[in-house]
Amino acid sequence: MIPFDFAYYQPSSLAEAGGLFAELAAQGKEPMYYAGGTEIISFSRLYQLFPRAVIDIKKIAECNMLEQKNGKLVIGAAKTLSQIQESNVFPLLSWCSGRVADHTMRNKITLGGNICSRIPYREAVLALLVSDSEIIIWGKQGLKKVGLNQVFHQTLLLEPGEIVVQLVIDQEVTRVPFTSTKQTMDGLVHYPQDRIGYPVVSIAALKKKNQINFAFSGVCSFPFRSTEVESFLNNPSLPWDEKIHQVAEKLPAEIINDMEGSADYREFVLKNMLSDIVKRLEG
Amino acid sequence: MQKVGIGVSVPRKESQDKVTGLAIYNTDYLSPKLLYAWLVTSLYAHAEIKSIDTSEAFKVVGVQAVITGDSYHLLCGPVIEDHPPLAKEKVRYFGEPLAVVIANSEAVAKEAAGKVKVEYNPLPVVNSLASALKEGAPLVHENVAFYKQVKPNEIFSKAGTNIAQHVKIRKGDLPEGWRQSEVIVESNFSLPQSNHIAMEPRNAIAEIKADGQVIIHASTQAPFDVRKILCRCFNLADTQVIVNTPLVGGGFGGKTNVQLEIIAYLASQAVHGRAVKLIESREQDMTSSPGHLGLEARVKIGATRDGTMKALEITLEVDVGAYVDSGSQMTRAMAADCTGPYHIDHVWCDAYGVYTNHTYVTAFRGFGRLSYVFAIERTMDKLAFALGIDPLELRLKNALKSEDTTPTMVRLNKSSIGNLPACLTKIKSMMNWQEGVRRETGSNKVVAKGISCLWKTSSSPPDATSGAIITINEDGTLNLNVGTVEIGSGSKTSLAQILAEKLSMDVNKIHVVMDVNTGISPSHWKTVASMTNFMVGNAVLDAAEDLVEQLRSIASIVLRCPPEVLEVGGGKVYLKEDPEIYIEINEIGNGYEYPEGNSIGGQVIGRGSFIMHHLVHMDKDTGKGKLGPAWTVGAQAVEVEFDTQNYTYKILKAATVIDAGKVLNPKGARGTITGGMCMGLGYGSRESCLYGEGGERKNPQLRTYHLMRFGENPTYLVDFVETPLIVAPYGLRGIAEHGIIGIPAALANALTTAAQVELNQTPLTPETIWQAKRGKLDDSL
Amino acid sequence: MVNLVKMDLIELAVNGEKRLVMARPADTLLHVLREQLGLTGSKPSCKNGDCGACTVLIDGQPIKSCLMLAVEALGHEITTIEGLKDSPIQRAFIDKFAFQCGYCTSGFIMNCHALSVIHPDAGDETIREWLQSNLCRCTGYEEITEAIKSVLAQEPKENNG
Ligand SMILES: Cc1cc2nc3c(=O)[nH]c(=O)nc-3n(C[C@H](O)[C@H](O)[C@H](O)COP(=O)(O)OP(=O)(O)OC[C@H]3O[C@@H](n4cnc5c(N)ncnc54)[C@H](O)[C@@H]3O)c2cc1C
Ligand code: FES
Ligand code: FES
Repeated sequence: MIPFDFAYYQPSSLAEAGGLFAELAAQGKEPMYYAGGTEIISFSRLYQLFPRAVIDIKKIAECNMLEQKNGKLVIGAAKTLSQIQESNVFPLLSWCSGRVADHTMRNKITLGGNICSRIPYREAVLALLVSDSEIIIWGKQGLKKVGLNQVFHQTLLLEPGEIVVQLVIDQEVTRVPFTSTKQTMDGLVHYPQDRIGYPVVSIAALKKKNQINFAFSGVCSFPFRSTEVESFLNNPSLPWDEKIHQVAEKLPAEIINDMEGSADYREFVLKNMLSDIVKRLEG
Repeated sequence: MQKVGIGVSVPRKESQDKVTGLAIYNTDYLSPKLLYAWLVTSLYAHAEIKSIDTSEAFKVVGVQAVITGDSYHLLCGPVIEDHPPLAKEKVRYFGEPLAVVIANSEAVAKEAAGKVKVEYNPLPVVNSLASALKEGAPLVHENVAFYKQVKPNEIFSKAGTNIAQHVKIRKGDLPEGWRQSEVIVESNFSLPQSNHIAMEPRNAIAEIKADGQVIIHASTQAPFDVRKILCRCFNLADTQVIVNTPLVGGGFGGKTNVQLEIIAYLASQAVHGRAVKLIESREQDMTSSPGHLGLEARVKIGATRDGTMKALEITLEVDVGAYVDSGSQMTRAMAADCTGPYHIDHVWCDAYGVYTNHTYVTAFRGFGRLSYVFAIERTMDKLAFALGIDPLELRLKNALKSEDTTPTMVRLNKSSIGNLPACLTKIKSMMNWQEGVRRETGSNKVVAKGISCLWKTSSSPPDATSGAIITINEDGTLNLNVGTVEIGSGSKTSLAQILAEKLSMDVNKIHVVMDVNTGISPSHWKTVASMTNFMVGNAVLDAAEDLVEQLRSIASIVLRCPPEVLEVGGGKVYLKEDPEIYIEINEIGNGYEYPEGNSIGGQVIGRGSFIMHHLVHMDKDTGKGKLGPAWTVGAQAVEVEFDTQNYTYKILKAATVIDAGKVLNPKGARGTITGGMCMGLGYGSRESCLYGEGGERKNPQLRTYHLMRFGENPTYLVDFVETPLIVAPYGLRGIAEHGIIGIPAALANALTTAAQVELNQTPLTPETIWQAKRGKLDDSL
Repeated sequence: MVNLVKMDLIELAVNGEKRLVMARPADTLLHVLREQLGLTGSKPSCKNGDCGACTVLIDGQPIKSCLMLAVEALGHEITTIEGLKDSPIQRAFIDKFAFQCGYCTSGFIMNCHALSVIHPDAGDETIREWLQSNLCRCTGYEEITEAIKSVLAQEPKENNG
């Protein structure tokens, strides 16, 4: 039960959506783009968000496409995580998306929504970071395409009114060796799917030309791929266990210390997982 | 005659409704006339309320009233009246209701509730048992001595401290026990509070008619208690209050507590008696309404070298939270059973119910047993290890039997205690115990087993009653009306089975009245303590006898014979010596008409009742007394596969063998047990109320408070032993709660064996085990 | 373009019927189904997407109706538990004793029903993945497992554990 009113708009084009956004913002309505809406509804219910208007982007054609063309994979931001998982066009993305929430929720949660979410985890982002994906954003100047790694620093840096339209992935990358794992606070790990709950640590890794790209969630208060961590881990002159042992010193921020896992424990899990991942990709 | 009632897996009577969405729960009560209430709850765990400003809330269009605690001089509580339904002067826990907005819609009520401004003056927070019991600790209640005690025989608070209850057990001669002991082991335990999480959140509707009649619709396990407490709080006559309860979407003890009914009543009063519906959000259900107690325990057990237990000293400190509710009763119940199902001559137990600035607590499946059993059963394993005896054999050796005495000095007989050794023997082969309790299976994996025993008696008031009414329809089917609530335990169906067996009838010909209406239904204490089939079952048998008596007496006139030669069965009254001579019960159930028109008899109404007997309050100084008529005993085991590298684990198997006395409904009984086991595994592995430094609740959502999910459950092994309880219908014993009781302990025993480190706390997440391995926890305990 | 700027009438396709309801834009589908249409089979429990008690089908896919706006359902087929008639999974839930209090049952049945239609040959892994979306506090999930398996094809294709 959302305890306040907002207006709902469902534009069918990017221009229309952007126009509405500007108009509503000018009226002080603090509009928000609305995709799966799962975060908007659940946060509004708890008085943690107060949009006076929401703009549903699910009917915008560009946000809804999923195609493979000229060696590129193009995924609309409004595609649900289930649709992405089932299409399995990019297995690592399927894995990472497939660990967000639960199956029924993933029928509603969108890729764009997960990227722009305010929770610290945003696990679908991991696959996009390690694969050097590009992101297409609509703004005042129209569409622009940039490397995700350039505009994702802790959060996706968007100007007010900008819309995430698509993610573009080089199809080459979808064929290289990869792996990913997630651990939650609970003791049970029967199957890869038993990961309902926020991650204590979640890692995606992908091996490209003898170099392993790593992205992390649950370690710091934002998902990240860090040049420092990556170049350190890929330094051929040090043995893996030594590098893994020291990895905590290279992290971009403090390790999360909360009820789902203490910082010490997260570090322990991080190291264990890294060993596992390296074994899988190098072994 | 065909097999009819007992021992058959009869699907529950309300099955069709439950699979079609037509089953009605209290949340489903809709009406355009309803107003909606929303709670304003405390953001502090302990603070003075400086002011509450409701002016902005009143401005929201659609608001009918806003009420706050300071308008009432009202203290409630089932044992001691320490609880203002809306906080007054100060708040004592995070989430405590302190005001209520009543409005035309839930959205408006909620919006306005967000506009109620409360100014607090924070007070030092009693955020743990240790800080509550410290010398000079801040007091959660300053005036305990002035509170009215509703049950003065059952509560012993200590003025000037946070000790709300102190129960003592003094059995035998403890120093003598230590002298006889050759091996002594000791451990400390810590189990935090947890939540019930019935899937239907707690909710209530109240309406006060112009003539003063109060109509309550409540999702409760205790409609008659709701009536009683409302009458006591508001000085109403019994006849003035009617409580209606439809199907209940789970309770697990959490709906025995009377809270929202009182608040809804106040809300209705504030709007001139209009019907007001109050549903808690999940977050409120987990913070504003009571949870399951927390426990810190210290256990010391002495035994001879051959493993005979001689002495037990146990201290139980119970985190009852901010108000006593039934926390004092659970403290007592734990003390009364404090040895576990083992014979020990010398027992010394101090059980304290302690106020803290945590959410208060109420009954939870097992009524406290699962917590202290954890402490005892972990210590049993430690003792077995110290003695070099197999843990299962140690339990077998000391299992209570006929002629032994309990901690409260009740002498046992075969009927009252049942057969624990038989349960242990069965579970031993089910779990393939002889293969050993620990096996390394390669690639950092260890498979380990843990065992635990359980026992539990009920702790009803000594005068708890139940009733039953049976009527006959024109088609010869029966209606059974009882005061128990259908909370999912299938009790209405079981009771129909008891009646069917008694009358040798097809159970499908017995209709049960699902809903309870305290104005119409025969009364029943509460749907708790696994006592329904025992208490109400006895009332049903009594009613059936009454019915039979009446049927025979009319039939004797029609069939021209003395009533003694007649029998009732299969829907007929027939001559014992010649069943071909009979009359159908539908011909006489509502009067018998002779062919010429003369009629005799009238409506046959079977009425029956039951009252507990020979229960004795516990003595204040020694604990001597009798809380319940008998015990249910059982053995439980868990097998885990543990990863020695990353401390994660899978639960492979969980087993229970319980002495059920008589299994009424095999498939239903299995489901009740496995459901309890699953809850116990959740509690043992992941569930706990996490409080921050200021006592604020950190995980009041199912997103962060994790329950067992589909597929995480192990393979269940369930079996029964049947030692009849002679005073119960068909010998049955209560089993509804028991599946949970020993499971957390068995899990901890298995993990302790697997990880080779003592695990004396819950929840056993991989992190807890890792911390224990690092030696951190040992320091803090 | 569908806009709903304030409380207004909208037309929903529920269980094969067209129904007019009065909804605020901020009203969830769960709320409207229950309070406006009296379809109380879908249950509120966490209203936060965590438990699945409110699961309905949107164009045949399970969706938690507590995290969907009623207005979002415009133009889609909504199926609630009241719209299932004599489906095999309902029968299986009774036969296998797959519920106790029954409060989670509608949500579970809707999810199971969708699974059995979309993946009639689902194996253990898919069953787990789908049904982990729903919580049951009464049962130990054993009977629910039996119920779903009894309506799926006998020989699962995948095999995991
Ligand atoms: C039950 C449950 C469990 C969860 N568990 C996890 C988990 O384990 N791991 C995890 O990572 N997350 C988890 N989440 C959080 C989940 O990831 C977010 O709720 C989800 O990502 C939001 O996606 P949405 O499509 O519903 O977004 P919305 O609620 O529609 O939007 C979220 C935010 O993104 C913005 N936005 C959405 N789309 C766009 C776009 N195209 N362009 C610009 N801005 C946009 C919105 O304005 C809003 O600020 C869970 C959520 C639920 C409900
Ligand atoms: S009520 Fe919708 S998921 Fe719990
Ligand atoms: S049957 Fe009660 S929650 Fe599932």
